[in-house]
Amino acid sequence: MIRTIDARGLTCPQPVILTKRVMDEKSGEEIVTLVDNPTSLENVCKLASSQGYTFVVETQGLEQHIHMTRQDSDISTEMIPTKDMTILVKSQYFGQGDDELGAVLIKSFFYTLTEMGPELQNLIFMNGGVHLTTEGSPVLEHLQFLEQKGVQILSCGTCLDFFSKKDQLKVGQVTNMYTATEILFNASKTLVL
Amino acid sequence: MVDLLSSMTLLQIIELGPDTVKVFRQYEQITGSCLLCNNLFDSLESVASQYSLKVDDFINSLQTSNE
Repeated sequence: MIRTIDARGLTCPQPVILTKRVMDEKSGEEIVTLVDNPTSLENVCKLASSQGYTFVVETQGLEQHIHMTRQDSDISTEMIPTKDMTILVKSQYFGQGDDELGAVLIKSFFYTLTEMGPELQNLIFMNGGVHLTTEGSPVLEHLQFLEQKGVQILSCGTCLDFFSKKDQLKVGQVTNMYTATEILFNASKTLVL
Repeated sequence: MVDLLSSMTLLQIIELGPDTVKVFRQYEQITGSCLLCNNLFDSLESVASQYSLKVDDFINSLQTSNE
């Protein structure tokens, strides 16, 4: 699809502003700006270069048509995030130093996860991390939301047994070390908390 | 409008505050040159230097144009 901007009769900076507005939409389409004076031609070409576009100027009578394409225009499909990220959660706290702070940060982290894109595929909870998937967890609603969005939530069975919480699991399924390790090995992106 | 910096280009400034165009037009009477034609991709600092303008006064004028 070609986006055409008719900037004929307009003086600088209008042709540049109009062209940049379309570029900022990042649609990856070809843009054609029509201008009819040398200053606008020069400035739109400068803009194209500065924004990473390649351009060809076609002269038609007193007008110039500047055809602009971005070399990475195919990137719009290539950059769609793949759903292949796994997060391993080893504690009910975020980081070390102060547990009270860690509890605040972990809530903030899981809330933020609910606002993020679709990359996340697996959440694996080990050791004290299983306190987050069981009764009384401060992040249960965020985890349930993520599960509804298709994120697989797995809690270590051995850990649940250790903390006597196997019957208190409120989100996701129980897993074992073999499955968890296999998921971690196959994930192209892994984050460990 | 956000705080303007002397390192910003004229294009960035008019994108942030369209009313700054009027100020640039006023300055064109001093410079005798179309700033938004010839210096659109230059920083405010370099434009001020090129035309011997006080950059702080320039920024103040632009900053207040949208207030």
